[in-house]
Amino acid sequence: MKKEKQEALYVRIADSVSVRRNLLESSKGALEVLKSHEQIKGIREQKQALFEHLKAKVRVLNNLLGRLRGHLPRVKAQEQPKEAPKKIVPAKKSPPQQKEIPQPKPAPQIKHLSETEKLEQELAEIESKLRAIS
Amino acid sequence: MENGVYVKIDQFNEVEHTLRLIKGKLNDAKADIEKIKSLKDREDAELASWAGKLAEIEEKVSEMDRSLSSPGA
Repeated sequence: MKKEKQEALYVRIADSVSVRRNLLESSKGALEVLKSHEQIKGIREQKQALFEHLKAKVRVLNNLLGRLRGHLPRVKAQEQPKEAPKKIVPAKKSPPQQKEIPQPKPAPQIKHLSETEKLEQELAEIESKLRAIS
Repeated sequence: MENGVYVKIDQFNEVEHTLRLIKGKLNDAKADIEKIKSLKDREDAELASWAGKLAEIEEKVSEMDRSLSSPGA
């Protein structure tokens, strides 16, 4: 029996040298990008280390400013003369509830604040102090 | 006595010392920020180079695509 010879089909590539060159140059470009990625990784690591450094310094700065606030006396925006001191108004307190049976207070739940929440709390305190002297 | 705020001399010395420390830390922090800026510029330059390289690769792939799509006679 005759075996039917199957004829393969071919497609001619025009300008095959150019195709080969483009392929090799594309591979070279991709490798250069991958090599550059290693450099970027190094740069980012340095940047991250510097950010941590900077954060630590700003923390120390914040503590120093707090220390400075402690050294200096509190002042109001308009200082009263010493001959006529201002009447000190005690902080408002709710009247003692003698007739009510004191309810046991629930144990305060310790809420773990995130770094952002702690900073926001500190900011709110400073802002309230600023409002007090304005 | 004049109106004003008074601080004890030893406390004032502490204030001056703390101020000097604060100024030092501020200068350190500013130097760190400059270094970070410089690294950021290098990073941006590398990223721009990536974008350029990828554009070149895209062009070459397009040429190959054109060559392969239009076979010769």
